[in-house]
Amino acid sequence: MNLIKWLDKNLEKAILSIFLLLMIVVMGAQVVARYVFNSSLSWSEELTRYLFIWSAFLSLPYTIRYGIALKIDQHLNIFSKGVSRAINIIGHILMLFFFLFMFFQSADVVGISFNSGQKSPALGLPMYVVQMSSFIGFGLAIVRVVQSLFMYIREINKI
Amino acid sequence: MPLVLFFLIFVLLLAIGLPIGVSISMSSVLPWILNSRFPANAPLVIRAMISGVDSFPLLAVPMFVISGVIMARGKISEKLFNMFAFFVGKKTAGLPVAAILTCLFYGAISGSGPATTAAVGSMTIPILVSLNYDKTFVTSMLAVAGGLGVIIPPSIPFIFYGMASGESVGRLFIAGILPGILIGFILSVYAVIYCRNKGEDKEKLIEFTDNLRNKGFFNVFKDSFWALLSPVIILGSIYGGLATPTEAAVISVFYSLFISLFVYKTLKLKDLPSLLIESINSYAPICFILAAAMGFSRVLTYLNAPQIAADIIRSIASSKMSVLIIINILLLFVGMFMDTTPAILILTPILLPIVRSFGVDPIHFGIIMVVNLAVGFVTPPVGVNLFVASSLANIPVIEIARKALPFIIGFLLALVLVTYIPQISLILV
Amino acid sequence: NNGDADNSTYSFELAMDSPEDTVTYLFGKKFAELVEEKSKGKIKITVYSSGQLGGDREICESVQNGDIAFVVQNTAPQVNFVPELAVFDLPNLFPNTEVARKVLDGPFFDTIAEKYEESNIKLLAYADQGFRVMTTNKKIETIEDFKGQKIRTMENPYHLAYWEALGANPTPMAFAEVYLGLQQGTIDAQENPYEVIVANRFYEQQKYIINTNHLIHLISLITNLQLFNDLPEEDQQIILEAAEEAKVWAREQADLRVESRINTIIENGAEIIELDDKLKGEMAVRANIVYTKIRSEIGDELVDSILKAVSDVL
Ligand code: NA
Ligand code: NA
Repeated sequence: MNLIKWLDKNLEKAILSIFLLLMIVVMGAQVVARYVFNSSLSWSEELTRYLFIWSAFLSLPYTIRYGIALKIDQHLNIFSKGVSRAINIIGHILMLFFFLFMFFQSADVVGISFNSGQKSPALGLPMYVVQMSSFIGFGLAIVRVVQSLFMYIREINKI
Repeated sequence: MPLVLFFLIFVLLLAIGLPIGVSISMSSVLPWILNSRFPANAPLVIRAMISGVDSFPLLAVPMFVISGVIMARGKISEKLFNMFAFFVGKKTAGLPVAAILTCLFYGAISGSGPATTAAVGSMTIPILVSLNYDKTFVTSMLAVAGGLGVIIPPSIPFIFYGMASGESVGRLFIAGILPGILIGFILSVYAVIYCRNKGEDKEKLIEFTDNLRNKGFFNVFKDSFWALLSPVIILGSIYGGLATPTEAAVISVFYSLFISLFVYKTLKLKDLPSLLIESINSYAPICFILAAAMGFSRVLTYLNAPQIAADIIRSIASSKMSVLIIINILLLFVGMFMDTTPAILILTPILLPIVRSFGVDPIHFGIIMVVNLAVGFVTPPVGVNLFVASSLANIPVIEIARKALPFIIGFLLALVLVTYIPQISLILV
Repeated sequence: NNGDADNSTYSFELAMDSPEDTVTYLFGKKFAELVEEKSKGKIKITVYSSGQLGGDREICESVQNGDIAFVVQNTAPQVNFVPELAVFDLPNLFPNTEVARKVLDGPFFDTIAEKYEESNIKLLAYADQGFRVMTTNKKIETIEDFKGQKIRTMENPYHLAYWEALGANPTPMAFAEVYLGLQQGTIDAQENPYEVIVANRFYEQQKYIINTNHLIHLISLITNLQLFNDLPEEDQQIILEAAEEAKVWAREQADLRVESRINTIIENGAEIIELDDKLKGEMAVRANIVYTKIRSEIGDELVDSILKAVSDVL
C-alpha cells in the first residue's frame, strides 16, 4: 500500500527528475568531450533528444496528476456551481475516451515500428523504444484522469 | 472537414477548460475520426507529435528553466539587481527601470519569456513592494518586460523560427539585440511617466540605496561580481566556440550551480532534488503542448490551411506595407490564444513565402513575428507571462492584464517601429 | 492512399524535407507534373515541401506504412529502414557522377530495389546532387591536415568512422546549429553537397572547399510497395515512366546548378581545392577500415556486387 502511495505521488516526478538530470549530465559531457578532450561523443545528441521525447509524453499524466496543465478556465467562474461541475465532469470523460483512443493507436505505432526493425542512427536503439513513450504516456494519462475524476466527485460529495 | 469547423471545435475544447495540449491533440485526430478517408490518421498524428519534440534545439527549454530556477533560488539574480540599484536607486523610477534593465540583462542569459518573468519577478517584486511601489503596477511591468527574454539573444522562439524557416539562428540572435534594447527603452519611459504622476516613497528609496552605497561600490561589485559574470560566461561560451546555443543553456546550468554552491554558498547539495522538481513543474506544462502542436500543424497542412490563409492575405494585401499590417494583426490575434512556440511552428511556413514574395527579409520577418508573439505572452486569455506573474504575486490574471495595458501599448509602438524600419533589426546582421 | 475507385481518379501526396529551391524539390515536382500529364489528369499528386508533412525520418516511416504515397529524399536517413543502403556509405566508391549514374541505371538498381521491397518500400528512381565535399578553414594538402579537425557529420556510424580514420574529430550536431557553430568555431568543418553549402551560406564562414567527393549524395524517389502493386498495370507504367524521365531531368538540373553554386562560392572568396593523387591514395588506405565495417554489417555479397558494377562501368 505504501508503495502504491509513493508511486501515486512520485512515479512521473521521479522519472522526469532523473531524465532531466541525465540530459544535463550528457549534454555537459559532450561539451567537455569536444572542447577539452577534442573527441566528440557520437551518441549524446540522440540520447538527450530521446530523453526529452519521453519527458514530453510523461509530462501529460504528471500535469494532470498535479493539476498544473496550462488551461484557460477563468471564464468558467461565470457559470453556476452546477453547470461548472457538469462541464468539468464532461471534460474528464472526454479526456478519458481520448486517452483510451490514443493509447490503442500508439500501440499500433509501436507495433509497426517493432515489426519494421527500424533503428536509431547513433545509438542503434530500436525506434520502438522511443515511440513507446507515447504508449506509456497515454496509458498513465488514463490512470491519472480516472483518478482525478474520482477525486473531483469525492470533493463534490463532501461539500 | 471544413477548416472553420475544425477551429470551432478546438476553441470549444479550450473553452470547457481542457488542458491546452489535450485540446490541440484532440482536435488533431478528430478530422480522421469523422472521416476515415482523411489522410492524417491517428498514428500519423502520434508520429508527428513524437517528431515535434525530437529536436535538439528544443532542449534549451528545460535547460534555461532549470538555470533560471537555480539563479533565483541561489540569489544570483538578486545580486545582479543590486548592482543596478546602486547607481539608479535615487532617480525617479530608478528601481522600476532597474528591474526592466535586469530583464534585459537576464534576457541575455535566458531564452524564455516566462523564465525571465519568473526569475526577475521573484526577486524584484518583494524588493519593490517593500519600497512602497504599487504591487499590481510592478507585477504587470515585469510580466510585460519578461517578453524581452525572447527578443534579446539567446532566444528559444528564434531557434524555432530558424528551424521552421531555414534561416540562420545566429543571425536571428544578432538581429534581436537592437529591437530588444528599443523595447526596454520604451517600457522604461512609461515607468518614468507613471512614477512621476503617481509619486514614489522617496524616503524609503534613499534608505535602500544608501544602504547599498554605504557598503561601497567595491563591496557591492565584489558581491555581484560572479553573478555579473554569468551572462559573460554564457554568451562567451557561444561566441568563443565552446558550445552551441543549446549547449550554452547547459553551461548556464553548471555555472549558476557552481557559484551558488561554492562561491555564494546560497545553495546546498541537498537542495538539488527540490531544484529539479521546481524546474519540472515549470517546463512539464509546456512539453506536451510542444509535441501536440506538431501534430496540429500537420493536420492544418492536410486541411489546406496554409494555402487558405495565404490566399486570404494575398487577396487583401497589395504592398509590402499592407501585407505587414495584415500579418501583424493576424499575429496579435493568434498571440491572444496561442503560445509562442506552436504559433511559430505552425505559422512560419504559411506566412514566410507570402512576405518573401513582397520582398520582406526573412530575418526581419522573424523579428516581427517574435516581437508580436512576445506581446501575446501578456494578452489574455492565453498569456504565459500573465500566468507566471499572477502566481508569483497572487494577483488575478485579469487585474494584471489591465494594469499592463499601457506597457503593452508601448510594446506595440516598438513593434510598429521594428516593422517599418527594417534597419533596427538588420543593421547588426 | 486516398484513391477514389469509383471513377478511378487518384490523388496522392508527395512529401520532402527540402525547401523549394533544391534539386530534391525539382525532381519531385517534375515527377508530379509528368504523372498528371501522362495520366491525362487521372492521377493528381500534391507536393509538400520543407518538411510540411514531417522530417526525413518521419516521412520515410510514413511511406513505409502507406500514410504518405511518395517521398523524395536523400538515402542517408533511409539506412535505418533499409540497412543495406550502407553500401552507399562506402567512401570514394565512385570516381565521378557519370560512373555513379551508370552503375545506378544498371542491374545494381534492381539489386538494391529488392532490399527496399523487404521493407515494404518501392524504389522508383535515384537522382543525385553530386558529391558531398568538405568545407573548412584549414588548407588540406596532406593527410596530416585532417588531424583534429572538428567536422560536423550526420549521425551515421560509417560517416563517423570515416572521418575518425582520417584523423579528424567528427561531431554530430543539429543542422540548425551548423552555421553558428562554424562562425564561432564550435566546429571547424562540415561536409555536404555544393547545393547545401550554398543554400545555407556555409561558404561565408569557410575558407576552403575541399573536393573530397567522399560520398555521392543520392536523391531517391520512393513509394509504398503495397500501394504501387495495387495500382492497375497501366498506372504503374505511367508512374515508372514519369519517375525515369524526372530522374534524367533532375540530373541535368543538378549538373547545371553545381556550376552556378561553384561560381557563388568563388565570387565570395572561398577557394576550391582539388586533392592530388597521393593524398587520395592515402585517404583510400585509411578508408579500408570503413569498408571492413560495412562488409561485416551488410555482408560481402552486396559490397562485392557494387564494386564489380563500378569496375564493369569503368
Ligand atoms: Na534571451
Ligand atoms: Na496571449
